[in-house]
Amino acid sequence: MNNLPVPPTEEELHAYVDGALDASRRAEVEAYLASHPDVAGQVARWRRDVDFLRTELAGTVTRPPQPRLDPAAVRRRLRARSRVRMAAAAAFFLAIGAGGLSGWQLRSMNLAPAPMADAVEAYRVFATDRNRPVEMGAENVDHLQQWLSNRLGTSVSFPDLRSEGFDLLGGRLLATAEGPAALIFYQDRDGERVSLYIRPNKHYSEGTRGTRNDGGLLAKYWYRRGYGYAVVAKASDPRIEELEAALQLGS
Amino acid sequence: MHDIDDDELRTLLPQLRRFALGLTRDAHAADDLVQSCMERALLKWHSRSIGGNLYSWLCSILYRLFIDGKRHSARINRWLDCLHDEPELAPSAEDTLQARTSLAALEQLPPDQRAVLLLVSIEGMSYQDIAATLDVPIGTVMSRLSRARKAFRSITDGDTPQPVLRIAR
Repeated sequence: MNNLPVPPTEEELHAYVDGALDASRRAEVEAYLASHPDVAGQVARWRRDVDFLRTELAGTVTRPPQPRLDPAAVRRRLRARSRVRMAAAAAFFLAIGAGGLSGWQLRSMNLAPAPMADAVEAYRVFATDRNRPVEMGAENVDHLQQWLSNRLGTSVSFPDLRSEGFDLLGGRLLATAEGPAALIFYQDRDGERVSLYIRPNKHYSEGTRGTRNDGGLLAKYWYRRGYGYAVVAKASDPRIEELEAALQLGS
Repeated sequence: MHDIDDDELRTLLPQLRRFALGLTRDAHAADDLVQSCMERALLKWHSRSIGGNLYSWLCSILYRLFIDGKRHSARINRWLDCLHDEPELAPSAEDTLQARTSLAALEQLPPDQRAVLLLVSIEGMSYQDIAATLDVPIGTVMSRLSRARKAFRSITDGDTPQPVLRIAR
């Protein structure tokens, strides 16, 4: 076998696996592999990995449709969102705005809320409150902890985030349809706030968790032992400059 | 006119969810990602290149959102670690699935390699399209693919110990 073809480069071997070679080169690579079982074995393993990934993820294409992902629903939400802004402006300046607002509320009730939407909303309302973001400050941590634990019916603890530069600011009690919820704030030296939100859970299965980027806020949530937990922070944290730049990409 | 666009998007939705699931390895996070991607796509709809590959345009938006979220959640994850008094957590259905299928190997790849491997293997995209989707030169696509395949191989061969299940990633 003296007239062997030029040995394929590694790139060509990948291209061979992915069917990206032209016919003549493919034939040459095949001839080369036929006489080099070790390389052929490696190529075969790569190909098996492709098949494995393909079959493993193939079933996921038929996952039940999520109504919230349907383009029409997304459009509706985008419209509703811009309507909220307009409605908020209208509510401030025009009493007539009330009619439209209740109409919008009716329509938004038809959309299932995203998980932990209330945690994000709570952050939005109270984190921007410079004077009174919390009901009870961190001066008496034990008392605060006892109070929130009693009302929620589960032990609420405040992890020490001082090594991260965050001091406990305090907490407040909020109401949800499922019962009392706790909102706890931490604050850094620059006044940036991050919240921990704990609420009863009746809808999501144990262990469910996720991350959502919602209108400039980032929420990470998980459900455990009948309660939902969410950490919410600004997605545009100025300390993460590249994040800010990346977020501007889409706007 | 929206109806035509929506039908087109609707057709691509299952594929997009699969790509997101491959990236995030978490069904909820994946659908949250797809939702953000759809919002972004509809807001920028006018700026897409007409006649271009709609699916790879969507993939590029989704991938950027994924990377942005990843970068940001690195910080939050450190808080999460602090917040968890008990590290053990009931594994989600996804975790169980992962453990069973050893698809977990995918999760151990760096996101940029994972994306290339998914786009090549699952989506069957050309190297050229992948380069455009990820906004990197084609040589970068090739080197990521090469590293991804080798890493995936060595992980599934059991060279690397499987990490314990944990909530923060």
